[in-house]
Amino acid sequence: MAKKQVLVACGAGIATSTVVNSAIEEMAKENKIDVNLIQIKIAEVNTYVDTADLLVTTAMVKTAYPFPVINARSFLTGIGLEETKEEILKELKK
Amino acid sequence: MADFYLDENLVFLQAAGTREEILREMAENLVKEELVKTSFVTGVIEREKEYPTGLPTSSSLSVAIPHTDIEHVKKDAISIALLREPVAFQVMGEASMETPVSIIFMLAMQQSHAQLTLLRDLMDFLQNETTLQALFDSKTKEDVVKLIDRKLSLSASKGGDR
Repeated sequence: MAKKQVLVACGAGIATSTVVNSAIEEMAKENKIDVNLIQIKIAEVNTYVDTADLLVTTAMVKTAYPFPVINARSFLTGIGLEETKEEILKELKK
Repeated sequence: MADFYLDENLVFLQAAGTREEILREMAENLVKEELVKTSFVTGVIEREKEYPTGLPTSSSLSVAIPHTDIEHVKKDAISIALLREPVAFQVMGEASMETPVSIIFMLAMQQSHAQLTLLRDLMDFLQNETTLQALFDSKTKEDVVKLIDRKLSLSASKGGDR
């Protein structure tokens, strides 16, 4: 299975994406999946539009991308976290 | 890990006003305390409009974690406001959903990706109804600082005994 490029983005690229990034890192490790995580500002997503496999973000996405986008607010609030994790795992295992 | 600054001067009890007024008061106070540059004030207010930070929690207390780009910040710090009445904030990542915020954690961070421990502690804190309510019920600024200090790894030297 090719290594997936996963973008983790928030508004400033400093706070919430840091939390989400580390949670996905752990999740991938637990499931023995090798991922290439890139933590960015949401405004920088365009740079990776040709290479990314998945975007996980706490910010609102106004653009349509050729890869799936998963809302990551549950990593912050804990509400619906298991569902979000499953959604991400499903994409990583594709 | 850099230390995170918090003292009683950064705590607001019974804060009141519009969303922007409260954010401005907190941000201007961080400027006065020489923790951020003057540009932080506009930075954090504009950022909140573009990328809102309101977070509904599992308790009845919603929170917001306003912050902005690293170049406006001089020293890592956290400012906390307990609101007299809930103030509507847009929910993070949603186009048109609002949540009535009772507690604001304004974050000043001068490095990307650097404050993972603090941020994770903060999120754990938000997910715990009991501590969130205890924070909201604080009667003095000293109580707020003590509670946050105990729950969050504000400095590397104190991080071991959580």
